[in-house]
Amino acid sequence: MTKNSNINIQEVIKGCLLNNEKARKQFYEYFASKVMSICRRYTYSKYEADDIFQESFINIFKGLKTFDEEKGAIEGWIYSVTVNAALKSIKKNYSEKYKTIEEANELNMGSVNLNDSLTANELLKFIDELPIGKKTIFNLYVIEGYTHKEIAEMLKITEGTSKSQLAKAKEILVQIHNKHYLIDEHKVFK
Amino acid sequence: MNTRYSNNGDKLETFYREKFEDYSCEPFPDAFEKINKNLSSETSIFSKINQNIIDKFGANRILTSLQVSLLVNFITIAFLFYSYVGQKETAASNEMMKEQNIISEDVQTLSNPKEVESSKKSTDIKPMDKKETSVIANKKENNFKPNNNSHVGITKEELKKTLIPTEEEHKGTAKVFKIDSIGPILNSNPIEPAKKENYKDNLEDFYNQHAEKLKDSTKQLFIKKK
Repeated sequence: MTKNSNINIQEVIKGCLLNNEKARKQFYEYFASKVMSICRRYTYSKYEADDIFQESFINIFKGLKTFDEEKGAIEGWIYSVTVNAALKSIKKNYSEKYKTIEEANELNMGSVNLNDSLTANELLKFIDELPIGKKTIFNLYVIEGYTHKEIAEMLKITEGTSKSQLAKAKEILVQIHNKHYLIDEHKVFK
Repeated sequence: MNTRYSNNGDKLETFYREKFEDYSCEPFPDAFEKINKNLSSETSIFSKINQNIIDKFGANRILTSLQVSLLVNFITIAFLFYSYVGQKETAASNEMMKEQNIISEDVQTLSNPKEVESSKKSTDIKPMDKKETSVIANKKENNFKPNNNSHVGITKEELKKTLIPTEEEHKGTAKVFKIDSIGPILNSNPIEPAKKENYKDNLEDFYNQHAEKLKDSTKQLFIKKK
């Protein structure tokens, strides 16, 4: 997104609609890295992410004529298309059953040691340790900002399931985080 | 990122959200070329096949568009040829079916000739011996001369006509028998066989009756030979 920040995105979209290859290239360069980051968050490897990335951009270019700027910004629309492609791929490749977890409790955030020095790439590794269902719901709710109602509709589950799955995901992440934090502390003491 | 987050004050959520806000990662090097190819070849299904081949088998087995078009042409021709051959085969099989029907009829004729003959008036050419031909010929003649008086075809009157000679015939030929003269011959009593016990007497009687006649006849024969 940062590569060609001076470009007029409206003009680029018009060029894309006219099948202008140059405009298409500009559009791609403008959004590619962001789209790729979304793809990566929903998958466990770069190879899986590459497939979703390609599928997403094909869908974006094909569906660009349906984009209505009055309904929202182009970024939001692009991310939605990408998330949909990711969910489609997950549905195809994983047979995750979303169960409502009764024992998932609210986290006591007082015990959580969040290491601010952790980078997004490191956090991505933490997220990769989550099972696919919890990982998807965590991404959708925390990073993308969808509500539990929206997630329930998207994944065809109940809101309660979405909430409990998110709570369990967060619990696991805290455990991982604490574990990592302790290791770092050991490193410091040594 | 978008601004749709529900700021619920969750420490962990906020932490992750902020960390991923500026997160970006680079796609694979020739991603755009692949996407662009896919889009530009969308209209051409053949190019799409090509792209799939490239994706599946990698750069070593990339087919040029010419090769792909040749391949497609070949497939089309093969398909057309196959459909043409299929049509011909259907026609041939129909012919075969007809022939089979004929053969089966023939087999049926051989196994149950009476049934078949009765079921249809046969048009088959059957070799016939002389007797049959003559019988058929006679039948045909009789058919041409229908006679209500007799099923044999010759009435008693006709038989008389043929057997009794006319006066002219009678004059010319002495060997013609009259029908009335046959009757007494046929009705005459045959010689009764001699009973065993009377055999000797009969023989003697017969000798006595004809001895003189025999003597005369033997004498005559003897004289003639001399």
